[in-house]
Amino acid sequence: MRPDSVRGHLDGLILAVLESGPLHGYAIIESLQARSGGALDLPTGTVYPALRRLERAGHLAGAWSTVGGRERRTYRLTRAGKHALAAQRGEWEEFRDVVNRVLGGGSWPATG
Amino acid sequence: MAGDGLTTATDPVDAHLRALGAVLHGPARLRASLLTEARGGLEDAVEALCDNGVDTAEAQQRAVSEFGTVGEVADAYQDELAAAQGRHTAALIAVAFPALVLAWDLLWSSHPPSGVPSPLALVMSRIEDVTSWTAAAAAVVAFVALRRGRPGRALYALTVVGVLAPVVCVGAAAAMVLLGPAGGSVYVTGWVVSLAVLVALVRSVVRAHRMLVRTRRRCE
Repeated sequence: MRPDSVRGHLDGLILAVLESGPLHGYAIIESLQARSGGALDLPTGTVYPALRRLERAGHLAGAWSTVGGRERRTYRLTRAGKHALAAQRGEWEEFRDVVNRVLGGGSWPATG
Repeated sequence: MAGDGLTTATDPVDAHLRALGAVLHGPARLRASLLTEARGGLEDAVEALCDNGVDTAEAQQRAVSEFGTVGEVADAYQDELAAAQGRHTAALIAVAFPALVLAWDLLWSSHPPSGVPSPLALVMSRIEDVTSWTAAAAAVVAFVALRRGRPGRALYALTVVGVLAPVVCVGAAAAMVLLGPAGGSVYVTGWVVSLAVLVALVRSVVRAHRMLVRTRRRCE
């Protein structure tokens, strides 16, 4: 998948990965790659500042800790982050339904 | 040790982090924290590749290439530094202006000026108060705005407020000194302290403005 098409959804993808529990930066990247079956191909270096941006917005809380003898910054989803994730899921489902109705050749039932 | 030095000099991870560090500007602690996190991530990536049977030199090259070029990732890093510098400056403006207004109110009530102030001096005093509270309110808005997204617009607003407000306040204060009745030496101390605070504030604004220029240059 092209990095450009991922970029707009990166925040939601990161929040979704952290839903199951706190992770440090590289574990988040591994989880994104694993959950996408390797289809998410974006520069890993863009994930770390995205984590800081989400932390700045109050969606994540980051803290330094020692993991495997190394200093790692671990992130967990905040309450605001959970709300943001729910909102992004809602928007995505709505968007997907609309695009499916138009592009999907009418095989999808109309919702809502 | 000589061997270690040679390894370090040719380590692609080190070289990449040095190149990234060279283009990032902003608060030193955050900059160091960002680079430490990037180093940890790159080391994790190298380790994961080595665990999968890739040799160290190739693993380092691949980790660096998967990380992205400095051009690809620097913008996002610089935005974080600019936002942090902007929030620091906004907090300073939001606290310093009301503090100066309250300190001067206290000074005037505890050491009333000898003689009656001219009406124009009272107008100047009013201009100072309104400017100070407006600047503080604008800084609070910028502080909140800098939590979300890219920091460019909030930093621009902060620069305008952070330069205009001190200029207006110093101008009005100078006019008051010329128009008003002479105060005691305690007033001179007040002017010196106020000027020092405003100079510190403008320096912080200038630093934030530099971040804005860097952020903008990359946007274009």
